[in-house]
This record gives sequence, C-alpha cells and structure tokens, in this order.
Amino acid sequence: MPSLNYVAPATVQEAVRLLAGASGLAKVLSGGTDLLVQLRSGRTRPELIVDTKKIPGIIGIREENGGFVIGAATPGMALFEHPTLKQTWPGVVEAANLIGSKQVQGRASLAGNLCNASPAADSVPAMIAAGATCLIAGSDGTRQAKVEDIVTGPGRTSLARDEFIVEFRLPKREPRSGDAYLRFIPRTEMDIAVVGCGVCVTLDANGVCTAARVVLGAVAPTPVLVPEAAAALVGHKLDDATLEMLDAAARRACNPIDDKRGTIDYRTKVAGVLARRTAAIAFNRASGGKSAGGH
Amino acid sequence: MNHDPAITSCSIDGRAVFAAPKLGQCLRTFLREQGALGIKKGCDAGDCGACTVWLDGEPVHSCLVPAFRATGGEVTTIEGLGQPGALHEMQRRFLDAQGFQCGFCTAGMIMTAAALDEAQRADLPHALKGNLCRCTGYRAVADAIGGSVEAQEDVAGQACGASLRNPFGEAIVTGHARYTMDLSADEPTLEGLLHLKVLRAEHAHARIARIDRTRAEALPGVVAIFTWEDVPRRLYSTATHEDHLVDPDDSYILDNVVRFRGQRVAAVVAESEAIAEAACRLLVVEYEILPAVFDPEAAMRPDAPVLHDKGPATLGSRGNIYAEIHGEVGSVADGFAAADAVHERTYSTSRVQHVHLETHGSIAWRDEAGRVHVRTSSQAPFIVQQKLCHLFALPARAVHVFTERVGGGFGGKQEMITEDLCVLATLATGRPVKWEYTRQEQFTAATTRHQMTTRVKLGATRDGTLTAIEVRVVSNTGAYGGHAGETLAASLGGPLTAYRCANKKADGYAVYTNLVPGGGFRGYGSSQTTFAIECAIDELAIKLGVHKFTIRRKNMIRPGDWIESVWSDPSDVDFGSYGLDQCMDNVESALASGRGAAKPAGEAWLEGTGIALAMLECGPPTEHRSGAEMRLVSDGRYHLAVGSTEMGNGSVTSHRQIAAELLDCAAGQIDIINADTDRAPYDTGTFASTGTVVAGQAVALTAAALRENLLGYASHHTGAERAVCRLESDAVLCGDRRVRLAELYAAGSAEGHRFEAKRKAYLSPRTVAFNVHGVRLAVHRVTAEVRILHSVHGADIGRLINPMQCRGQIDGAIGMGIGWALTENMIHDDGGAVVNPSLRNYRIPAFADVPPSEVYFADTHDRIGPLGAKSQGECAINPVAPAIANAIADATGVRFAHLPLTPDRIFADLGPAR
Repeated sequence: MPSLNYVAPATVQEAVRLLAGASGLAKVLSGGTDLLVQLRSGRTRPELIVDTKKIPGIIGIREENGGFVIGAATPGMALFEHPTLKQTWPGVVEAANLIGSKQVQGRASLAGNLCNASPAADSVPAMIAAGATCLIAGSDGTRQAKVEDIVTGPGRTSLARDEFIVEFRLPKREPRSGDAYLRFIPRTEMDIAVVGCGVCVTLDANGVCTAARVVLGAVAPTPVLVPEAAAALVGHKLDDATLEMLDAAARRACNPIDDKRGTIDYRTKVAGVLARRTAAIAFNRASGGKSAGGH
Repeated sequence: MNHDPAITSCSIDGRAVFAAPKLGQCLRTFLREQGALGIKKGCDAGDCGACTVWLDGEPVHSCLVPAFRATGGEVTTIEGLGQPGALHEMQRRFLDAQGFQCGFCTAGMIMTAAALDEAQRADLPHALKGNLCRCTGYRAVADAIGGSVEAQEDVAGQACGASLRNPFGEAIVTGHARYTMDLSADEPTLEGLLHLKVLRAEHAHARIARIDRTRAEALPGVVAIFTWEDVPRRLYSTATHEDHLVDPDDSYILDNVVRFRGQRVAAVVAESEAIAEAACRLLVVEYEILPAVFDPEAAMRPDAPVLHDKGPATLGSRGNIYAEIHGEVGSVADGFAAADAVHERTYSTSRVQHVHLETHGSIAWRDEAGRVHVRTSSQAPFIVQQKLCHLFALPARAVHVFTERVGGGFGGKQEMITEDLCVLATLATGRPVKWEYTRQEQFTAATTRHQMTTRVKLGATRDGTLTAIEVRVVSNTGAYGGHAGETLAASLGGPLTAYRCANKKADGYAVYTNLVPGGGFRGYGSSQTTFAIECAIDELAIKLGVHKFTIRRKNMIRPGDWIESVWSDPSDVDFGSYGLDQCMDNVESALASGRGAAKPAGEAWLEGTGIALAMLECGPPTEHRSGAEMRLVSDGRYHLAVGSTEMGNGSVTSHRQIAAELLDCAAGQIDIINADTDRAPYDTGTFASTGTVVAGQAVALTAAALRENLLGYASHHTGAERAVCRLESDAVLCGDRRVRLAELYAAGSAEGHRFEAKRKAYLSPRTVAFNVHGVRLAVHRVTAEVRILHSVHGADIGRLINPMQCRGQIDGAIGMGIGWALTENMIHDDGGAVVNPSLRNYRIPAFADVPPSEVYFADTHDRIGPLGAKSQGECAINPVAPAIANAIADATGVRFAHLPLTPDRIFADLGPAR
C-alpha cells in the first residue's frame, strides 16, 4: 500500500520544515473539502499531509490599521458572521459564501479556495478586486504577495514547495468605495461558475470613478485582473456608454475554454453582462446605496 | 510534534468511541464502521448531503471531514437526533408530510433542516443547496420543513384513498431503515467479508491481449483476482426481463473485448476496499486498440467497426444495428399529399443517468448448506435469481435474492449490475463479498437513458386536422443492447398512439456504439419521442395559426378510437378509463389563472408558455405477472408478502391500503414484506408502472380470496348465513355476533383450517394513462437564463390509492423532467470517456431548481386497474421537457430542438432574438 503520512504541526516554522523536508508530494490541509475528494479519486497521491489547523491564528479575523487580517484556514461562515467585515467588504464575504453548501461553509477556507487554483474559484476574483494580499511562510521566512500573483494556471500556484499561506490582508477601504462579486452558474445554487466577476470601485463626490479593479474568473486559465476594464470605468460615471466600454473590455480579456460548463462564445458574452451587473452593484455600494446585489 | 493520532476518541450520539481511523479516512466511513448506519453515502464528494451529520452541533458533509478532525468532538447522527417513539420535531415533520420517497437522502436532509434557523428556513432554496433528493421534486421536503401535515389517520374500512403514512416511515426518519449496504460489521453472516473492486477499461474499444496480475496478487490482503479467463463463458444480458428473448445475449461477466470506456476488465477481492483498489491499480493490461464509433448514424454505415460479432447469438442483427422496427398504418404518402401544411424537423434528447441516491451494490454469501444469498438493490430480484442460476449453472433453490429498502431505482435497477461478480467471488472464495458502486461508476459503468434522435414529419389540413405522422428514430444503445429493443418499441408506441390519424409511419433503429450502455429509465423510450412529437405539434400549430390547445384537442385520442400506433395487428390495450380531456382543461385553466411568479423586470426577459401531452400504456407489452400471498396470524393481524420491489414508489404503503380496503380493516393491521425470492411469491419485476397495476392487482385478488376464506369459515364457525357475515376491522360480524379475528384464528387452527390465500395477477388487458404539463417561463435574451414562473400538471392516473403519494410521484417526475430539459447531460470526450461523472458537473436539480407545481388529478376510475387505479409515477416525466422547450420557443421565437436546453446552447441559437 502506498504510504501516507499525516502531521499536524503546532507552529508555522514546524509546518515549513515539514514541507521542506518532504521527499515526495506534500499537501497542506486546511478545511479539507477539496483535498479529501482528490485523495479519494486518486487525482492526488501525496506522501505527506500537513494539517495547518492546529497553528494558532490560522483561523480567525482581526481588524488592523482599518483593514482586516484573516487567518488562511478561516472558513467562509466566519467571514459572514464577523460583525464588521460584511459592511466593509461585502463582495468578498458574498463570494466566500458561495463556496459550497451550509455543510461546507463552516470549514472550506479562503486559502484552500485559492491554492486549489481552480480558474472558477469564487472567492479569488473578489479578493483580487479588493486588493487583498497574503502572507506566505517559507524556509526563508515570510513574504507578502498579491493574491493575483498566486495562481499561475489550473491546479498550479506560485508557492514554492516549502511555502504555505498563513493569512490574508484586506486593506483599509477607501472612502466612497464599494466592492461586489457575482457569478453565473447553470444551476440555481451549488454549482461551479461559468463566469465570475469581482469589481471594486472608488468614486469622487460627484459619482465619478477615480479608481477601479475588475477581475474575471472562469474565463481564462487563472482569474484575471483586467486593467482595460478598470480603465473603462475610471473617469466616468456609471452610464450606458461606460457600461458598454466595460462590457467590451471584459469580453476582450476573455480567453476561456469550451468545456462542459459553457462554450467560448457564451462565456465571453456572459462575462460582459456580468461585468455590467457587478459594476452596477459596486457603484451603488460606493455611493452609499443599500443594494445587496444578487442576480 | 503531533504525529498521527492513532486513536480518535469522540462521542457518537452520546456513545463514547475509541478507535483508530485509517489515514485519509473520512468521517462518513469511520462513523459507519462504528455502527452509525443511518448515515448514507450518495456521492462521497460533498455534493448530495446524504451523509450529513452534526459535528459539535454544526451540520457537515461527513464525507468531506477527515475522521481525525472529530477527535474530542461530539457527533450527532440521525439516530441521535431522535428515536422511534421520541422523535425530534423535524423527524416528526418529515413523517407528517412524508418528506421522502425512497428515504435514502432523508437522514441528511433532516440533519440539515433541523439545524436551520428561522431566517434560513425562509430561504430553503439557498439553505438546502447541499442536499439533493431525486425522488420528491422537493415539494414534500418544503412541506415537511414548513410543518404541513399531509398524512391522514388510518381508519378501518377507509384505508384506500387516504393519505396514509409509509409503514416504514418512522424507521426512515430515524435512520433505522436498513438499505442494501447497511449491515453492521458484527453481522454473523458477514464474518470474513471481502471487498470487491473492478478495474475498468481505459479504451472505448479494444481487445485485451494480456493481463499481468503478478504485482496485484503480491499485494498483502488480496484474496482473488478474476479476469475474462476465470469466468463461465456464458452470454447473457444485464437487462432484467423475464423473457430473455427481448434483450440480446451480448455480455459476458468479464470479456476479452471491451466496448466502452469503463467496462469491467478485472475484479479484485481483498480484505479491504483500499487494498482492492490498490490491487486494481497494480494490474497491467495490454490492449489491442480497435477502432471505435460513437455516433449511431456512423455506426450504421457499412464501413463502421462492428462491436458485436458473436455469430448465432446475435442472429438477425445487421452490423451495429441491434434492432430495427418498421410500421405503417394507412399511407403517409397519401396523408402528406392531402395536407395543407407539412412540418419536418429533427429533434434529439440527451444521455442522462438515473442518479438514484443509493448507488448500485450487493452483498453475497453462502450459508452452511451451501445456498447463495444475495442482498441487493434491485427492481427485479426474481429475474436476478434466474440470471445468476443461468450464469453459474445453479438450480433455483440454491440461490436466494432479496432486497432490503431500496434507495431509488427509476429503471436503473432493472439491470443486473453487481450481483454476478459478487456471486462469482463468493463461490470462488467461500467468503462473503460486498461490492458497492461509487458515484463515478454510476456514470461511467451503469446504464443511461437511450439517447435518441428523432426525425418528425407531420401533415395537417388548414383547420389543424392531422393527415400524416411519420417518425424515424435512431436510438444509441451504447456498447450493449439491454432494453434497446423494448425502449425502441416504446418510442414508437404511446407517443404516436396519442394522436388519432389515419396515416402513420415509423422507422426505428437501435444501434450499438462504444459508449456507456443504455438501459431502462422512467418513461422508457416514450419520453424521447414524446419530446420530439410534442415539439413538432407546436411548430405545426404555429405554421397553421392554430392554438396549441386547439390542435391537440382536435387530434388527441379519445374513447372509441383504435388504440394503435403504426401496427394494425390486435392489441391488448384498452380504455379502462379516460381523463385526457380533463387534464387538458385543468392545465389550460390553471395557466390562464395568472398564478405563479411574475416575469422578472426588464425588457431583457422574454416570457412564454408551453404545453405538452403524453400517453402511457400501463404496463409493458412483454409478459408480466406478480404474486401475492396473505394470511391471518394468531393475534388477528394479517401478513402480506408481495414479490414486487419497493424503491420509493410507495408500493408497501399502497399495497397495504388495497388489501385493507378488501378486508375492511386499517392498513396498520397488515404487516408486509416484499421482493424476496424465499419469502414472497414470484414477480417479474417492478418497472413499467407495474407496482400498482400488476402487483397491486395481485394484492387485491389475494385479499379478496382471503376475505372469502375468512367469511366462509366464520359462517361455518358461527352457523350464521354467509350472506350476513362481513369483516369489520379486527373482527367478523356474523349477524348479531362479533367474533374477533384472533378468536376466529384460534378456532380455525384447532380444526386444521388455514386462513391464507395466494393469487397471481397477469397483466392483460392494459389500460391507458395520460399526463399534460404546462409551463410559463422567462428567458433572458442575452444570458439565456431560464426561470420557470408557473408549472402546472394534469394527471389521469385513475383512482388515487394514496393521494399524498400520488402527488409525490408526480412532483418527483416533474423535477426529473426539469433536470432532463434544462441541466442534465452526460458529456463524452472524443475518446468516449464521460467527462462529467460527478454530481458537481452532472447537474440534477437541487431545491432551488424545482419550482412548486400545481398538480390536478382527473376524476377517473379505471375499470381494468386494481380498485380503479392505474399507473402513477412513470408517465408524468414525459410531457415536461417538451412543454419547457415549447415555452422557450414561445418566448424567443426560436426553436431549440436538442436537449438539454442549457444557457450556452440557447445562447448559441438565440441570434435574432438577442
């Protein structure tokens, strides 16, 4: 029988040492909602599983300098239940709560959603739109990275084999800013995104956009930050012409595959529509509106 | 450092447990090993929720939780939530509203529902997204959670027609009901239990040149390995029909040619599932790749690679065409010549899977006398027994096949999928052997609905009167031909019979290809042609400017018409009752009511309405019979044994009600067992709607015979005239004298009288049932999202033996129809592999996908079916997909002729409307 070792270290340093010392494939376990399925199907056959949940601080949310520090293994439900996070970064919280069912939301973690490296991961475009960074621990100490720099392709990340994510940082939200995340799925609930879109905008007192980040999921090998789409918004109010430019920029950024969840043409078209819908919610939030979004 | 915690200590339902989970083991299998058998496996991937338990009060998918994570925790399963007699409030609610049919998803559903707060209960589409049910269409689940009481009291003399509870309802809602795999580890018959796993073909078509088993055999814990060289070389069909001539004998238990990706190559039995799986991976197979063909039209060409070349065994077949059927009444040439308008188009339906939540599986063992016992999840245990006897050259008495509770069937379990290998292994090793399908295997290695492509040509005069109907059906039966001939015949039957027309013609071909085999599936071939014809009728109506209700009313079959499709030879189908006209009226007025949801705001949303009708001949044209036996027992209760399988269709409930009506007692006075070749009389299988119309008839005949037995003896015993004796609850009234049944039993048995009866019912003549579905929906003209706003259904199923159950069957069929129409589709890659073999990518409807439907029952009483009843659960699926397709066409002005109607496919064709 193939051997499999399981270790639950109590410190970051120990976890790093174990990862660095593994001779074969090593996997980091947080919520486990993806890893267990992959183990069962034989899609991954690690030699070592490093369970991070015993590391202090790996689960939890704290406010710091007006922003938030979120432990890597913090489940979506904890984000939802946090007293102020949802008011500040509603798009991130909504995206995290799309991951899985009630039975999963108590465990599925942000780090797992990111490091599983699916192009369709729901929380990732929202995190990138919000300008989130992560703290990565490795043999050489820790380093900061932007969330958009982590996923390099389906199932692949930029993390070295001795590295794992310790925490995420959401910045202090600028005044008159708002974020939103929407996804499009064939089934009404509980499905994998055909297209996902995260938008974060900052407005001036007149409702003109001064800064924007637009991110698309499931339309390319990785979630993509689309500066052209942001550029379509900056300097404009949310009018039909702006939305048209946004729509076109979003479509141009698409490089999807034809697969079982949707054709290239369809995904491209929906990306434009979804960018419009998401931007509308983000603008509304930035201008103090109460719209909760949804589609 | 905190190395592998060898011992997990947790509490399961208040019971302290100390045990070592295996590395990588999930909580689900760990808990079941500890005897918590209320927890079910539906997918092992966090999609279906059947394994939901509470971990420290929070619901979790136990299949996704590493077992060691429960260390120090408190696990609550369905059995800890409440017990029979001391139910948790949510269990009580699921019982009162019968929020289940097969009950396999119920434990998980209740565990999730019981943890919801008020706000979550107000948003069930979201809150229940982690729990799938394939039977109910979720309405009964919503009723249950909402606290609605649907079940009625069981009153002697009024049992039939009342919404009585399932006799095993309390066991189901408490997790005590035992399904096929729910055997505790210390069960004496399971001592030395071995686990079977199968290596599956990596190629769509190949000859096996060599299998090297050296490394696999060397793996500690491997007990036996079987390849094609180790099995009896006997041809058979996995389809379970009593008449083996209706299916081709084209299969071997293990073959040296594989004809689809996923076919069995070798079987390993080992001391654990993990060892068996590891050994499968160590088998080295050398294949000679053969050319493969996936498209049935290509497979019919002379140059196509031929799948089955077995000489006389498939005599009569032509190349890959396993079956072809042709027929014509009148002359369609004349009919089209007389038409003012002709419509012609090709429609197609998708390959879909049954997705019964309980996967296939069986357990086989030998007793001390050498008899083989097979506990299995089957719709036809008696036919499985016959097939096992054939394959292993055993006499019938040497093989006992039975079911425990069966977690859904829908036609998928009218197939011998696992039993043969379990028996092979148990005969070879002398030890008990268990084989449980994974969810992935359900998609890659079970059966599917036959994909059919249907060319329809209709002609009509200006006023909408049909002058000709012509269809050409090509059915893709995949690698093996079980059910191919019968589904093809059915595809040319009811859907063409439903319309009166002097000129009808049909040509049908069932063709082998290198895909997962087709099989029986609710609707059985007629669903596919109903989709095509009902779409075509709408298109013809539009061409003629005739309203969709008008064209159907003008042409639909009515009493006095010949009941004929394209064959003019005599038929045993007759109008035992007729309620199609009522169904049409009910659906029309419901759609006109304006009820249902409003169209979403915005000009991007287009609204449309569609209808479709369907006709079912109640029961199969093949020979079908069912037996029942019944006796009075000493305490004055009755014991009923029925051969038919209960798989969520509700037959254990309705059969008791039928018997209770004839014995003037409460249903609760009758104990029932079923589907057991040792303990119940022969039955050809529960499929083609035979649970009510044949097995129910057998129960009625048996109960009537027992009543005569009882009253005859009571007359003799009391001296009262037979004419003044009648049954009343637990007694016989003989004139003025009331004799309790227990007393009667004592008196009778003292003089050697036996209070028992046995009858068989043979299916002929067959009656007809009808269903009409109507839907109003909205389509987003850019994203092609579809939202069903109003769903209405008219069902003509005769007398309702149990209205709550009848409603549930219809709701479930509608839910399944919505999935077939909108989301479900087995997708294959260029090499014939299924690319979406999981519930995450193969999308059966979740709670949020199935809107509540208004269901109207025609007021009919059938003179052929038992006590006025006819088929309930099968035909309701047939009009759903075409009604939805017609509504989308109505909304967009574009015809979508190919299932499923997913947004990307609608989008691709929506051009002009967009």
